[in-house]
Amino acid sequence: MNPEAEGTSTSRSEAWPLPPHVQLRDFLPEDERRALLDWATRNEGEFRTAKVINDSGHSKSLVDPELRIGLTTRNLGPFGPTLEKRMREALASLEQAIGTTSNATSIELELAAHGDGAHYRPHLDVSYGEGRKIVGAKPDEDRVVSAVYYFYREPKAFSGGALRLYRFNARPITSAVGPNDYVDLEPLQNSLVAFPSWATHEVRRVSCPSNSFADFRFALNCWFCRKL
Amino acid sequence: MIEAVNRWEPKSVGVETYRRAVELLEADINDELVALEPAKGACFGFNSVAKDVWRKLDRPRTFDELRDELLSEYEVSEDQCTEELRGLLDDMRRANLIERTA
Repeated sequence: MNPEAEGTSTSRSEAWPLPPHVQLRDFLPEDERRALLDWATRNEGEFRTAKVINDSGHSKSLVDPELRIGLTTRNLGPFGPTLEKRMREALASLEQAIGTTSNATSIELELAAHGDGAHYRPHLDVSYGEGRKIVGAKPDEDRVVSAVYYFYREPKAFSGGALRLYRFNARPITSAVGPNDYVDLEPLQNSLVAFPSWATHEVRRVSCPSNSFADFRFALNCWFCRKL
Repeated sequence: MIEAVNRWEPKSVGVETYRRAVELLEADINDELVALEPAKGACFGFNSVAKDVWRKLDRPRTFDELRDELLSEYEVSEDQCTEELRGLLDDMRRANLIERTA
Protein backbone atom coordinates (compact mmCIF):
# COMPACT_ATOMS: atom_id res chain seq x y z
CA MET A 1 0.00 0.00 0.00
CA ASN A 2 1.12 3.49 -0.58
CA PRO A 3 0.51 5.84 2.34
CA GLU A 4 2.02 8.75 0.43
CA ALA A 5 -0.59 8.84 -2.28
CA GLU A 6 -4.12 10.03 -2.10
CA GLY A 7 -6.49 7.15 -2.66
CA THR A 8 -9.18 8.83 -4.68
CA SER A 9 -9.30 12.43 -5.63
CA THR A 10 -11.00 14.91 -7.89
CA SER A 11 -7.94 17.15 -7.87
CA ARG A 12 -4.37 16.18 -8.52
CA SER A 13 -1.02 17.78 -7.85
CA GLU A 14 0.23 16.31 -11.12
CA ALA A 15 -1.45 16.66 -14.48
CA TRP A 16 -4.35 14.41 -15.30
CA PRO A 17 -3.30 11.79 -17.83
CA LEU A 18 -4.10 11.85 -21.50
CA PRO A 19 -6.90 9.48 -22.40
CA PRO A 20 -5.75 6.06 -23.52
CA HIS A 21 -6.23 5.72 -27.24
CA VAL A 22 -5.26 3.59 -30.19
CA GLN A 23 -5.07 4.05 -33.95
CA LEU A 24 -5.29 0.88 -36.04
CA ARG A 25 -4.01 1.07 -39.62
CA ASP A 26 -5.49 -0.71 -42.64
CA PHE A 27 -8.69 -1.41 -40.79
CA LEU A 28 -10.90 -2.42 -43.72
CA PRO A 29 -9.94 -4.55 -46.69
CA GLU A 30 -9.22 -2.23 -49.59
CA ASP A 31 -12.23 -3.35 -51.63
CA GLU A 32 -14.54 -2.59 -48.71
CA ARG A 33 -12.99 0.82 -48.16
CA ARG A 34 -13.38 1.71 -51.83
CA ALA A 35 -16.96 0.49 -51.96
CA LEU A 36 -17.89 2.44 -48.83
CA LEU A 37 -16.29 5.61 -50.18
CA ASP A 38 -18.00 5.14 -53.52
CA TRP A 39 -21.40 4.72 -51.87
CA ALA A 40 -20.88 7.71 -49.55
CA THR A 41 -19.81 10.06 -52.33
CA ARG A 42 -22.78 9.02 -54.49
CA ASN A 43 -25.27 9.60 -51.69
CA GLU A 44 -24.66 13.19 -50.63
CA GLY A 45 -28.41 13.66 -50.37
CA GLU A 46 -28.54 11.26 -47.43
CA PHE A 47 -26.38 13.55 -45.29
CA ARG A 48 -27.89 16.21 -43.03
CA THR A 49 -26.43 19.06 -41.02
CA ALA A 50 -24.88 17.61 -37.88
CA LYS A 51 -26.44 18.46 -34.53
CA VAL A 52 -25.08 18.74 -31.00
CA ILE A 53 -26.49 18.28 -27.54
CA ASN A 54 -25.37 20.66 -24.84
CA ASP A 55 -22.80 19.46 -22.32
CA SER A 56 -25.27 18.29 -19.76
CA GLY A 57 -27.65 16.94 -22.33
CA HIS A 58 -30.53 18.97 -20.96
CA SER A 59 -31.84 20.26 -24.24
CA LYS A 60 -32.82 18.61 -27.44
CA SER A 61 -30.16 18.28 -30.05
CA LEU A 62 -29.69 21.39 -32.12
CA VAL A 63 -27.69 22.86 -34.95
CA ASP A 64 -24.97 25.20 -33.68
CA PRO A 65 -22.30 26.20 -36.21
CA GLU A 66 -20.17 27.65 -33.42
CA LEU A 67 -19.87 24.20 -31.93
CA ARG A 68 -20.11 21.98 -34.95
CA ILE A 69 -20.14 22.13 -38.72
CA GLY A 70 -20.46 18.86 -40.55
CA LEU A 71 -22.82 16.45 -42.24
CA THR A 72 -23.99 13.11 -40.88
CA THR A 73 -26.29 10.26 -41.76
CA ARG A 74 -27.37 7.09 -40.04
CA ASN A 75 -28.05 5.51 -43.42
CA LEU A 76 -25.12 3.23 -44.18
CA GLY A 77 -26.68 1.83 -47.32
CA PRO A 78 -25.83 -1.82 -47.85
CA PHE A 79 -22.79 -1.59 -45.57
CA GLY A 80 -24.49 -1.47 -42.15
CA PRO A 81 -24.26 -5.18 -41.26
CA THR A 82 -20.70 -5.55 -42.54
CA LEU A 83 -19.45 -2.45 -40.75
CA GLU A 84 -21.14 -3.44 -37.52
CA LYS A 85 -19.54 -6.88 -37.77
CA ARG A 86 -16.11 -5.34 -38.38
CA MET A 87 -16.52 -3.08 -35.38
CA ARG A 88 -17.68 -5.86 -33.09
CA GLU A 89 -14.73 -7.97 -34.16
CA ALA A 90 -12.35 -5.12 -33.34
CA LEU A 91 -13.86 -4.34 -29.96
CA ALA A 92 -11.74 -6.69 -27.83
CA SER A 93 -8.46 -5.35 -29.17
CA LEU A 94 -9.70 -1.77 -28.85
CA GLU A 95 -10.70 -2.37 -25.24
CA GLN A 96 -7.35 -3.88 -24.43
CA ALA A 97 -5.52 -0.99 -26.02
CA ILE A 98 -7.45 1.70 -24.20
CA GLY A 99 -7.82 0.01 -20.81
CA THR A 100 -11.56 0.02 -20.86
CA THR A 101 -13.89 -2.91 -20.51
CA SER A 102 -16.97 -1.71 -22.28
CA ASN A 103 -19.33 -4.62 -21.61
CA ALA A 104 -21.05 -3.18 -24.66
CA THR A 105 -24.49 -4.49 -25.40
CA SER A 106 -25.20 -2.44 -28.50
CA ILE A 107 -23.53 -0.30 -31.10
CA GLU A 108 -24.31 2.95 -32.89
CA LEU A 109 -22.96 3.77 -36.32
CA GLU A 110 -23.05 7.05 -38.22
CA LEU A 111 -21.37 8.37 -41.33
CA ALA A 112 -19.90 11.86 -41.20
CA ALA A 113 -18.63 14.11 -43.99
CA HIS A 114 -16.46 17.12 -43.25
CA GLY A 115 -15.94 19.74 -45.92
CA ASP A 116 -14.26 23.13 -45.92
CA GLY A 117 -14.58 24.79 -42.50
CA ALA A 118 -16.09 21.75 -40.82
CA HIS A 119 -15.17 21.17 -37.19
CA TYR A 120 -16.52 19.98 -33.87
CA ARG A 121 -15.52 21.95 -30.79
CA PRO A 122 -14.36 20.13 -27.64
CA HIS A 123 -17.03 17.81 -26.33
CA LEU A 124 -17.70 14.45 -24.75
CA ASP A 125 -19.71 11.69 -26.39
CA VAL A 126 -21.67 11.23 -23.18
CA SER A 127 -23.89 13.73 -21.45
CA TYR A 128 -23.25 14.50 -17.81
CA GLY A 129 -24.54 16.50 -14.88
CA GLU A 130 -27.82 16.39 -13.03
CA GLY A 131 -30.77 15.72 -15.28
CA ARG A 132 -28.49 14.55 -18.05
CA LYS A 133 -30.10 13.09 -21.12
CA ILE A 134 -28.56 9.70 -21.72
CA VAL A 135 -27.23 9.40 -25.24
CA GLY A 136 -26.72 5.91 -26.55
CA ALA A 137 -27.92 3.25 -28.92
CA LYS A 138 -30.91 2.62 -26.66
CA PRO A 139 -32.77 4.99 -24.35
CA ASP A 140 -31.08 3.75 -21.17
CA GLU A 141 -27.60 3.15 -22.54
CA ASP A 142 -24.51 5.29 -22.35
CA ARG A 143 -21.69 5.42 -24.83
CA VAL A 144 -18.61 3.78 -23.36
CA VAL A 145 -16.08 3.45 -26.18
CA SER A 146 -15.93 5.76 -29.18
CA ALA A 147 -14.27 4.79 -32.44
CA VAL A 148 -13.77 6.73 -35.66
CA TYR A 149 -12.86 5.15 -38.98
CA TYR A 150 -11.39 7.50 -41.60
CA PHE A 151 -11.63 7.18 -45.36
CA TYR A 152 -11.37 9.57 -48.29
CA ARG A 153 -10.57 9.93 -51.96
CA GLU A 154 -6.97 10.03 -53.10
CA PRO A 155 -5.10 12.11 -53.84
CA LYS A 156 -6.18 13.64 -50.56
CA ALA A 157 -7.94 16.96 -51.21
CA PHE A 158 -8.30 18.28 -47.65
CA SER A 159 -6.09 19.13 -44.72
CA GLY A 160 -6.75 19.43 -41.03
CA GLY A 161 -9.54 17.48 -39.41
CA ALA A 162 -7.34 15.87 -36.76
CA LEU A 163 -8.96 14.34 -33.72
CA ARG A 164 -7.68 16.19 -30.67
CA LEU A 165 -7.87 14.30 -27.37
CA TYR A 166 -7.52 16.38 -24.21
CA ARG A 167 -6.23 15.34 -20.83
CA PHE A 168 -8.89 13.97 -18.55
CA ASN A 169 -10.65 16.68 -16.61
CA ALA A 170 -9.52 19.35 -19.09
CA ARG A 171 -11.90 22.22 -19.75
CA PRO A 172 -10.59 23.50 -23.08
CA ILE A 173 -13.55 25.75 -23.77
CA THR A 174 -13.39 27.60 -20.47
CA SER A 175 -9.74 27.25 -19.47
CA ALA A 176 -6.45 27.74 -21.21
CA VAL A 177 -4.75 24.61 -22.46
CA GLY A 178 -1.24 24.17 -23.77
CA PRO A 179 0.31 21.81 -26.27
CA ASN A 180 1.07 19.34 -23.49
CA ASP A 181 -2.59 19.07 -22.65
CA TYR A 182 -3.69 17.21 -25.74
CA VAL A 183 -2.66 14.82 -28.46
CA ASP A 184 -3.65 15.17 -32.10
CA LEU A 185 -4.45 12.09 -34.16
CA GLU A 186 -4.35 12.61 -37.89
CA PRO A 187 -7.25 11.18 -39.90
CA LEU A 188 -5.12 8.63 -41.70
CA GLN A 189 -6.59 6.80 -44.64
CA ASN A 190 -8.26 3.50 -43.62
CA SER A 191 -7.39 3.90 -39.95
CA LEU A 192 -9.56 3.38 -36.89
CA VAL A 193 -9.10 5.48 -33.76
CA ALA A 194 -10.65 4.51 -30.43
CA PHE A 195 -10.82 6.20 -27.04
CA PRO A 196 -13.11 6.34 -23.98
CA SER A 197 -16.35 8.09 -24.90
CA TRP A 198 -16.09 10.32 -21.87
CA ALA A 199 -12.75 11.79 -22.90
CA THR A 200 -12.95 15.38 -24.07
CA HIS A 201 -12.16 15.58 -27.76
CA GLU A 202 -12.65 17.78 -30.77
CA VAL A 203 -12.42 17.68 -34.53
CA ARG A 204 -9.99 20.31 -35.74
CA ARG A 205 -11.15 22.52 -38.56
CA VAL A 206 -10.97 21.02 -42.02
CA SER A 207 -9.68 22.86 -45.06
CA CYS A 208 -11.03 21.52 -48.34
CA PRO A 209 -10.39 24.12 -51.06
CA SER A 210 -12.60 22.49 -53.68
CA ASN A 211 -15.41 21.97 -51.17
CA SER A 212 -16.54 19.25 -53.49
CA PHE A 213 -18.39 16.54 -51.59
CA ALA A 214 -16.23 13.82 -53.08
CA ASP A 215 -13.16 15.55 -51.64
CA PHE A 216 -14.50 15.68 -48.09
CA ARG A 217 -12.99 13.97 -45.10
CA PHE A 218 -15.27 11.00 -44.45
CA ALA A 219 -15.58 9.13 -41.20
CA LEU A 220 -17.59 6.33 -39.74
CA ASN A 221 -18.42 7.21 -36.16
CA CYS A 222 -19.00 4.24 -33.89
CA TRP A 223 -20.10 4.11 -30.27
CA PHE A 224 -20.15 0.99 -28.15
CA CYS A 225 -22.90 1.36 -25.58
CA ARG A 226 -24.22 -0.24 -22.43
CA LYS A 227 -26.46 0.52 -19.52
CA LEU A 228 -24.45 1.80 -16.57
CA MET B 1 -11.03 -33.99 14.58
CA ILE B 2 -7.91 -31.90 14.17
CA GLU B 3 -8.04 -28.14 14.50
CA ALA B 4 -5.41 -25.67 13.43
CA VAL B 5 -4.98 -24.11 16.81
CA ASN B 6 -1.93 -22.06 15.93
CA ARG B 7 -3.27 -20.45 12.79
CA TRP B 8 -2.92 -16.68 12.91
CA GLU B 9 -5.87 -14.64 11.82
CA PRO B 10 -6.29 -10.88 11.79
CA LYS B 11 -8.58 -9.64 14.47
CA SER B 12 -11.95 -8.45 13.38
CA VAL B 13 -12.20 -4.68 13.43
CA GLY B 14 -15.12 -4.00 11.19
CA VAL B 15 -18.16 -5.96 10.13
CA GLU B 16 -19.82 -3.00 8.47
CA THR B 17 -20.57 -3.54 4.80
CA TYR B 18 -19.64 -1.20 1.98
CA ARG B 19 -20.97 -1.05 -1.55
CA ARG B 20 -20.73 1.18 -4.56
CA ALA B 21 -23.12 4.10 -4.58
CA VAL B 22 -22.56 5.16 -8.18
CA GLU B 23 -21.68 3.76 -11.55
CA LEU B 24 -18.57 5.17 -13.16
CA LEU B 25 -17.18 5.31 -16.66
CA GLU B 26 -13.66 3.99 -16.20
CA ALA B 27 -10.30 3.80 -17.93
CA ASP B 28 -7.24 1.91 -16.69
CA ILE B 29 -4.05 3.87 -17.09
CA ASN B 30 -1.15 1.72 -15.96
CA ASP B 31 -1.79 1.06 -12.27
CA GLU B 32 -4.23 3.90 -11.94
CA LEU B 33 -7.87 4.26 -12.70
CA VAL B 34 -9.45 7.44 -14.02
CA ALA B 35 -13.20 7.63 -14.00
CA LEU B 36 -16.10 9.95 -14.67
CA GLU B 37 -19.26 10.00 -12.64
CA PRO B 38 -21.74 11.00 -15.33
CA ALA B 39 -24.49 12.13 -13.00
CA LYS B 40 -22.27 14.83 -11.51
CA GLY B 41 -19.73 15.32 -14.24
CA ALA B 42 -16.96 14.68 -11.71
CA CYS B 43 -13.68 13.11 -12.69
CA PHE B 44 -11.88 10.85 -10.20
CA GLY B 45 -8.35 9.53 -10.06
CA PHE B 46 -7.73 6.30 -8.16
CA ASN B 47 -4.25 5.18 -7.19
CA SER B 48 -3.46 1.49 -7.41
CA VAL B 49 -4.76 0.60 -3.95
CA ALA B 50 -7.93 2.63 -4.39
CA LYS B 51 -8.43 1.00 -7.75
CA ASP B 52 -8.10 -2.45 -6.17
CA VAL B 53 -10.59 -1.58 -3.46
CA TRP B 54 -13.02 -0.08 -5.98
CA ARG B 55 -12.83 -3.24 -8.07
CA LYS B 56 -13.40 -5.41 -5.00
CA LEU B 57 -16.51 -3.39 -4.28
CA ASP B 58 -18.20 -4.65 -7.43
CA ARG B 59 -20.23 -6.49 -4.82
CA PRO B 60 -20.91 -5.49 -1.20
CA ARG B 61 -17.98 -6.30 1.10
CA THR B 62 -17.36 -6.02 4.81
CA PHE B 63 -14.44 -4.03 6.12
CA ASP B 64 -12.81 -7.22 7.36
CA GLU B 65 -13.12 -8.88 3.96
CA LEU B 66 -11.51 -5.95 2.24
CA ARG B 67 -8.73 -5.64 4.78
CA ASP B 68 -7.94 -9.36 4.82
CA GLU B 69 -7.64 -9.45 1.04
CA LEU B 70 -5.36 -6.42 1.05
CA LEU B 71 -3.22 -8.01 3.76
CA SER B 72 -2.77 -11.05 1.54
CA GLU B 73 -1.85 -8.93 -1.48
CA TYR B 74 0.35 -6.18 -0.03
CA GLU B 75 3.31 -6.21 2.28
CA VAL B 76 1.83 -4.11 5.02
CA SER B 77 1.24 -4.49 8.73
CA GLU B 78 -2.23 -5.22 9.98
CA ASP B 79 -2.44 -1.92 11.85
CA GLN B 80 -1.24 0.13 8.88
CA CYS B 81 -3.59 -1.66 6.52
CA THR B 82 -6.53 -1.13 8.84
CA GLU B 83 -5.75 2.55 9.25
CA GLU B 84 -5.18 3.23 5.55
CA LEU B 85 -8.20 1.27 4.41
CA ARG B 86 -10.34 3.13 6.90
CA GLY B 87 -9.07 6.42 5.51
CA LEU B 88 -9.59 5.33 1.94
CA LEU B 89 -13.15 4.19 2.56
CA ASP B 90 -13.86 7.46 4.36
CA ASP B 91 -12.52 9.36 1.33
CA MET B 92 -14.71 7.33 -0.97
CA ARG B 93 -17.74 7.89 1.21
CA ARG B 94 -17.12 11.63 1.33
CA ALA B 95 -16.96 11.60 -2.46
CA ASN B 96 -20.26 9.68 -2.47
CA LEU B 97 -18.65 6.89 -4.45
CA ILE B 98 -19.55 4.24 -1.89
CA GLU B 99 -21.95 3.83 0.98
CA ARG B 100 -22.02 1.87 4.19
CA THR B 101 -25.00 -0.40 4.47
CA ALA B 102 -24.66 -1.88 7.95
